[in-house]
Amino acid sequence: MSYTKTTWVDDDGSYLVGTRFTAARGNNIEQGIADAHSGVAIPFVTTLPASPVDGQQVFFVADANNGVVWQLKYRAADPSAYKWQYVGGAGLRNVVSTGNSDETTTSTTYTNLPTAGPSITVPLAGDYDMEFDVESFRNDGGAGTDAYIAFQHGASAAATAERISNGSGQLVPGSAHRRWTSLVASDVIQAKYAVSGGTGRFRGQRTMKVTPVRVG
Amino acid sequence: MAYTKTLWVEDSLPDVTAAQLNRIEQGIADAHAGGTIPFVTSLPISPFDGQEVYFVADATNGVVWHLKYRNADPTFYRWQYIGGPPLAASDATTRAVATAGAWQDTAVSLAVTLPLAGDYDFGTDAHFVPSSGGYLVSGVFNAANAALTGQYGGYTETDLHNEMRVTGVAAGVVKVKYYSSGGTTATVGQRKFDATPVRVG
Repeated sequence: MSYTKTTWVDDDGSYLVGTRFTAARGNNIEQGIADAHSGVAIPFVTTLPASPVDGQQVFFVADANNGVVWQLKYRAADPSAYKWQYVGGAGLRNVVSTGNSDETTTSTTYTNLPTAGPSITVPLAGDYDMEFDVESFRNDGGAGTDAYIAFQHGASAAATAERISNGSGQLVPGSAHRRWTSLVASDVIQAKYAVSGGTGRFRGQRTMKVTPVRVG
Repeated sequence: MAYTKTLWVEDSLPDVTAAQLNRIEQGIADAHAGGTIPFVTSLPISPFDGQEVYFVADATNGVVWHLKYRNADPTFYRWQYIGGPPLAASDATTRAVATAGAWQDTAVSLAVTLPLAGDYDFGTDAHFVPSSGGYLVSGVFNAANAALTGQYGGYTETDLHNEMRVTGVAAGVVKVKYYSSGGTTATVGQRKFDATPVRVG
């Protein structure tokens, strides 16, 4: 909990002004120090403070059900609108799995597989790192046909420039690491799938992790 | 070190002495220096909401996790991971996965020991060389040989990195095992395995 300071005023000898050292004031000091020592002085929050001060810290509960908490520290000198700097905590994660079965698409524009995703909704505006892994994927259309995975993020549609691809015809694992700036709170990051021709086959687990860089 | 409070009571001892004020000053100075949250090797028995500890997960290798207790967490694992490096194991040597059709360890296990139960992120890296015509995959298993993660790999020689989140993992040894669908020449090399908590208890 936050500490409520006492503003001490000296006695001027008249007994009309001055702050007495009372038990209540003394115990407030003691509890404030003890809280700082145990860690409880830095609060859990589910929304960021409206009027932060430089250096302020919070533990932001990013996903209450899954125990994801981010330690954030406010840096007023950050040149962006996202002045809460991420200094620790687990990433948000989403996994979809089809076991040993393939899910397929013949779409030449980015689309969902029958089991959509993985996808993650960011809780705060800001810059984020995304990591994606797929167990294996391929295109069974023969030489020259590719299977693609790209990523919708917020208002930005899945883009060729950000895709991963496999045109070998063999099942191979795939992974992608991306950093996106200026996402909006509640933006969705979602994997999308396409082919250049033939049929794209996507097997097993597809997993996504998102970690903030700075938020606000 | 932990701060010991004085309980102040009106018109009662102790007096406001230099010693008392210096104790308060030292408490504030310690808090500013950041050295007030303790290192522990077991979690506090009676934690309170917001309490923090630095848990020594692997003293030999300097792995310390910053944990904060969140009473509102809906699981048994209320110590939320805030920071610190993963537990890690590695093996650069190429190892045979010589038995086809069965999950198997390599001659040298790739394993870490989880000091606490909870939810974890597991990361694996390896250079996979399947037998001709077969596929080669890996998975993470607990000490009872129960699979904790899905399988990752394929039919082609490749360098593979994978991360998975597993909930409700018991404390103890977890290891990477391998499955070759056919042939006896499959190998894995340049292996790395790490485990980072999400929440523990």
